[in-house]
Amino acid sequence: MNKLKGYVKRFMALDASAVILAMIVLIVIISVLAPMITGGTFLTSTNIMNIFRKQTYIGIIACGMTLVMITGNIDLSVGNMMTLLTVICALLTKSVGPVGAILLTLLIGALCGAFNGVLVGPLRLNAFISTLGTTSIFYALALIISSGFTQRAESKLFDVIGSGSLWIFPVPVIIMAVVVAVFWFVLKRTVFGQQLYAIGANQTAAKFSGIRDRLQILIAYILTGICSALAAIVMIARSTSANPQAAGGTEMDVILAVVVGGTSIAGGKGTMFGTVLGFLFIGFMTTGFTFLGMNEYIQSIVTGIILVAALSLDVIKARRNRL
Amino acid sequence: MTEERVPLIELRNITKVFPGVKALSDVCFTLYPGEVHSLCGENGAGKSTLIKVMTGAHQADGGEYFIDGQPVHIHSTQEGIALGVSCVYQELSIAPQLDVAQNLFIGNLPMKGVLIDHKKLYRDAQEILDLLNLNVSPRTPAGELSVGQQQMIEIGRAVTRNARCIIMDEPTSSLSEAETETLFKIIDILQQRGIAIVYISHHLDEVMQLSDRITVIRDGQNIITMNTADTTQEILIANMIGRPLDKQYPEKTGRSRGEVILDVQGLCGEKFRDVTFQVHAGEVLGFFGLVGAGRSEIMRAIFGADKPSAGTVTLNGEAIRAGSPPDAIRKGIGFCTEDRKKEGLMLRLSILLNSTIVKLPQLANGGVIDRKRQAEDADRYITAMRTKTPSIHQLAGNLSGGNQQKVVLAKWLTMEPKLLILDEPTRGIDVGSKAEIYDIINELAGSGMAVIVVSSEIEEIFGVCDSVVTIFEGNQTAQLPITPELTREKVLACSLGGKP
Repeated sequence: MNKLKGYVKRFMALDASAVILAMIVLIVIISVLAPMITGGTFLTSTNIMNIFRKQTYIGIIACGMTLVMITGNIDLSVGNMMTLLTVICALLTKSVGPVGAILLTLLIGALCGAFNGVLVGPLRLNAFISTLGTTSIFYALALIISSGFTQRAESKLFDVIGSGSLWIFPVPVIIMAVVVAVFWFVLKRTVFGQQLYAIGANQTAAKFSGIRDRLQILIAYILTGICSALAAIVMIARSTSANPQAAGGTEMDVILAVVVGGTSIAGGKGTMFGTVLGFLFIGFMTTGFTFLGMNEYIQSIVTGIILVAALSLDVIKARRNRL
Repeated sequence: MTEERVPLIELRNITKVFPGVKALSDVCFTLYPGEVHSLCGENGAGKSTLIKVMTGAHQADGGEYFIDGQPVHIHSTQEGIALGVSCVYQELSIAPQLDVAQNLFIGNLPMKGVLIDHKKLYRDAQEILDLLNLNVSPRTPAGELSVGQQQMIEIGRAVTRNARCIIMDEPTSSLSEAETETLFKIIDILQQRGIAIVYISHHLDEVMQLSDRITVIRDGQNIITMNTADTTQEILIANMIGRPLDKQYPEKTGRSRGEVILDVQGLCGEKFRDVTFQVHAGEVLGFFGLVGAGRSEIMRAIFGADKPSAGTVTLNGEAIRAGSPPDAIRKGIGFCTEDRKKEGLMLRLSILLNSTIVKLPQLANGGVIDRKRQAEDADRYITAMRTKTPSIHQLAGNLSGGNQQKVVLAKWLTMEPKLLILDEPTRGIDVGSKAEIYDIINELAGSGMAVIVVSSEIEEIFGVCDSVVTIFEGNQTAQLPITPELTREKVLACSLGGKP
């Protein structure tokens, strides 16, 4: 009994304990309700893989967002940036073929990220306001270059990326896993990653320690741009078309995943492990609600409540830790 | 003190536990009306925690709390204030945009229905200002006052709330000498009105001068409570650190002046002009002047944190690029800034990362950190400086001031600088840690490092430096070698604009 208590105590001390508990509760509730309401079983391997497959684009962007948020900044433009990049990728596929399109999309993604990064890093503008501004720029650009029409993009390569599988793992999931692993390594083991924490925890002290803070912030935004490009490629590979009006609200889901995963909005705190948990939580939740036939607008309300709750928890924890 | 009187505040066997640390164990403390009772102890001894229990910011895990002999349970600082316990903290809580009167009565403005009774507000404010002998208008925006005056306003605020006990936590740390005098007069006035003062300061001469009684705590435990009249500063220090302090300053032995390390020529900036000096290997150069004389700004310009408008900085014959801390660090300059919390440490991050953040690029191969070397490096310096912490994975914010300063030192020592600039290295640090930091400075100079120590304490300059540069209103007034013939008066005179 005492041993059990010890385990419980150690588990509760983890930063991630709240998400894991919430996720378990959620899965139990949905699993119990599902047979009653729809007569189906929720926890099947197909359902789980579907969660991954559908939501990978959120997970991929969340990796970049985690870096940006650890520096104490934010990128609200990722949703529309991704839309713009899907449109660009579709148009490029028609002119230069899929391989060229993928490479160019990644490059343009990096440039979009760099645009945000220059505003927030070197120019030191407020991250909320400046990325809110670029949000509407990206949105308008997507509409202009597509003339407002959905662009089709078909190729064998996209079929493999979008629908292929390795054993039971869909290719998009593998791409996401690789991105997660790379970003985990970058954050935990590289000088760049550790310097991001320093910048978020105390930018002045970081600068006085010889860290090129503005440059590092710029790089974090560029990486987020590249993540958005990867997400766009996965998206287009799955749906074989790019709708310039779609993907609004993606940034909300991404930020939700990162914040639920324990990354502090004030900066200096956050892990890839947490972000993966946050992503899984969002995945289980949205799929579960859809499975139960919950109204889409009600889902939006629940998502909003959870974001506010997660942010409050972050603030409350920070206050309590202040000795 | 007559023991028959009922104490205003009595704490019996107070215990407070934080995760992993017992901050207070069985601490007792009594406070009589009208007395000044000093609380002494090294950083981390538990003074702050005890104050927080008194004000209601923390709740004790054990023990009893009496006010006027009645048991109380205070759950918040608001409840504490209602019971007459107020605290003036190190960090001021003045609203700079509001005027003096509004700051005095913030939170309990006199009302006329739903509106503020401005007439009464300014009349009452003037009364308080008169009482405290403060010569400012109640309509002055508080932001225009000096730090010292703002602190008086905070004390005045406690008076408006009918405080019967005012706790002052390091009230003189940012005050000039004249302001300190004013504060002492105010304390006297408060005392005569029967208000009790709990006084906390690292300046033991102030403690000896002001207090009626002194309570020493160490490692969260009561050591002794004594009448000031029956004790001496030496006894007090011995109680605080648990052993007699043999010497505050180490012997300046084993220093040999080598070649020129730092050469500053004609450096000009917004707050200083034409600064020219050299620092040699194995030399400790002091910078002395009043707070605000431009000393820190000169150091910032040397380090590249600010861009100077003219002049050159050369280290070992290599020019340092203006306005680039990375370049200064690469060429071998380390800079412990004056404000540890704002410019020195990442409080929310581990000691490990804090102490290796500067050296991190050198601890990595192709950008990937060699974690074993990182831990070894941090461990070496943290242990060598006898930093009190359970592990290097502890957050820097959980350490006491003296230990935090050691982490900042470690951060620069890991990179083995050729020149180390220390801006007020012992500000807000207790006696024991001070002596340790002086030892470290001495060792560094002995090993051939060039060191600059910026200080506003004349004893510190004489105790650790080989020569001193005096700064007055941004002008370099003298550079004097510290010899037995040099008097403190002469250095002080130079720092006030006199000619050497």
